[in-house]
Amino acid sequence: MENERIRIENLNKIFETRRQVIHAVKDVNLSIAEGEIVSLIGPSGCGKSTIIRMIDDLIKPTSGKIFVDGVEVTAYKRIPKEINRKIGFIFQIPNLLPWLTVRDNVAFPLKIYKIQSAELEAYVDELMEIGGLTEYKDAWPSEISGGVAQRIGVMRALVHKPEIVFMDEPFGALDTMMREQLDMEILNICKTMKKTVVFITHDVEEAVLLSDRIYVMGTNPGRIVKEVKMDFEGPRTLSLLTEEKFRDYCHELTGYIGKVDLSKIV
Amino acid sequence: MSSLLEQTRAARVAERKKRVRGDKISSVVMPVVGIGCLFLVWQLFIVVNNVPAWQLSPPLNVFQSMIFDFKEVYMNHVVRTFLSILAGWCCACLVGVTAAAFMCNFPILNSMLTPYINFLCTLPVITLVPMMYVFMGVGQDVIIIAIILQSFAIVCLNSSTGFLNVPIIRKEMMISLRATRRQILFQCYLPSALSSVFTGMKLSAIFATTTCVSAEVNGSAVGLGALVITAKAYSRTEQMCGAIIFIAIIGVFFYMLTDIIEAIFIKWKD
Repeated sequence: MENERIRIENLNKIFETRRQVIHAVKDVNLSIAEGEIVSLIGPSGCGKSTIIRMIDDLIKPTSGKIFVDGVEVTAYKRIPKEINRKIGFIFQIPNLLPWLTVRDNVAFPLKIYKIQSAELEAYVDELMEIGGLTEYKDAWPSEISGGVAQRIGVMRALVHKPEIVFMDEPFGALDTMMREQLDMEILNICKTMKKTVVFITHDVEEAVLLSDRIYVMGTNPGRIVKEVKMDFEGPRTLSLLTEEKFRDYCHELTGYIGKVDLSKIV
Repeated sequence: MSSLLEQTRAARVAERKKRVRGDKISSVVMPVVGIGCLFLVWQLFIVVNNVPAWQLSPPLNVFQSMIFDFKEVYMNHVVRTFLSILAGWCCACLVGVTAAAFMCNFPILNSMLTPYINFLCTLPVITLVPMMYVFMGVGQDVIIIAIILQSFAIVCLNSSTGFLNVPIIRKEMMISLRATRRQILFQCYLPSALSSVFTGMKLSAIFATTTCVSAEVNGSAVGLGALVITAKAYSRTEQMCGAIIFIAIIGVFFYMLTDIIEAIFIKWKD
């Protein structure tokens, strides 16, 4: 693949508990190019989150190789700093620090990376503006709504200008209207800033709306069962939801997930 | 739009001010009324039952003694008790929080020290004081060590509970940012645990006061605990009661001091 940013080869993750051994991810191979928005979809427990957590070095793989920008990160004890700084991670829940104001939460990665500068401070304000957070800048996280909190989580992941963004079901807890609105905001931000995005969701429509490519995953063990390329003409907008092609993709993907579920029951 | 936002904010500020005023009434005036009622009942009990002063001094006599005999009788003891608690409690807070931070960072240390911490929390250190007097001699240093031993364990136990209960997802965010161990401690663990640390400090302030007075009762010649024993020997019940009230005031002072420090440090809500 040209301009490859992430490559995964034969990735396996086995969780061992006292009672059982769970093969969470089995022989996963995938490749993601620069600027691509790729979604991993599948039922709960199929290992979607485990894959991006392994890429971000939150958990170690049992076997297999992960390459980010050609560097084998699995060869290191901890992910190299220069690679880590290329990655932004948006968690399932906003995960805000209650002792920091909204603005300080957005700017938090800069403090950890020790890369504070006037230019980046201006960039924080710009992100606050893009995310519609300016009016909340001095508020405490306990004073804001769930939707705003999640937007802060998104902007915090983008503040150090990462080239790769992992999104682990970021809007799962929000209502459909709010989710669609935030989906479009994120899509615009990532397309404008040319980010490579790995999006985790179990919502087929959300995945089709946002992605250039979708990997469908199955359970027991967690594995990739299908790769589908989204081929839409023109820009992605919410009007896409009513198009026949969009419905066809959703139908096709639901079919794959349905097959996965059926095999799980058998 | 912005004016609507400003109006909402102003309304919220006004509501908060009203609430603060209400809180002040309930947190300052009502306790004073409660204490006043106690002294009234005490005075009435003595008058109605005609209790002699050598058995139980009336509150008015106690207050007179506390005010007019302060310099002569109480000051030396109050200063000694206050300084012992201050020194012991400050050391205990410092050692307790530091020990908890180390214990949470190094699981081996945690496993090693936890039994001792639990032992010190459950054991009234006052039982060790006679042994310490025998070993080290009677003096303020023994009292301060007893306070440290008792209070540090309480601070340590509460702080380590706070450190260990940091949400996993918060730790994961720090790891995801590849934060250093120091950054994880100061930017994540410590602020997350701050509420538990202050709870430990408040509890330890109470334990420091009781330990200090108990140790003074056990053998010291100076301090409010010692004054209670001396006053008892001379049937000076007004001085006994006065000493007890000063002990309560010192205990409440340290408790409220922690409350004020907590309010300065913790401005947010979890």
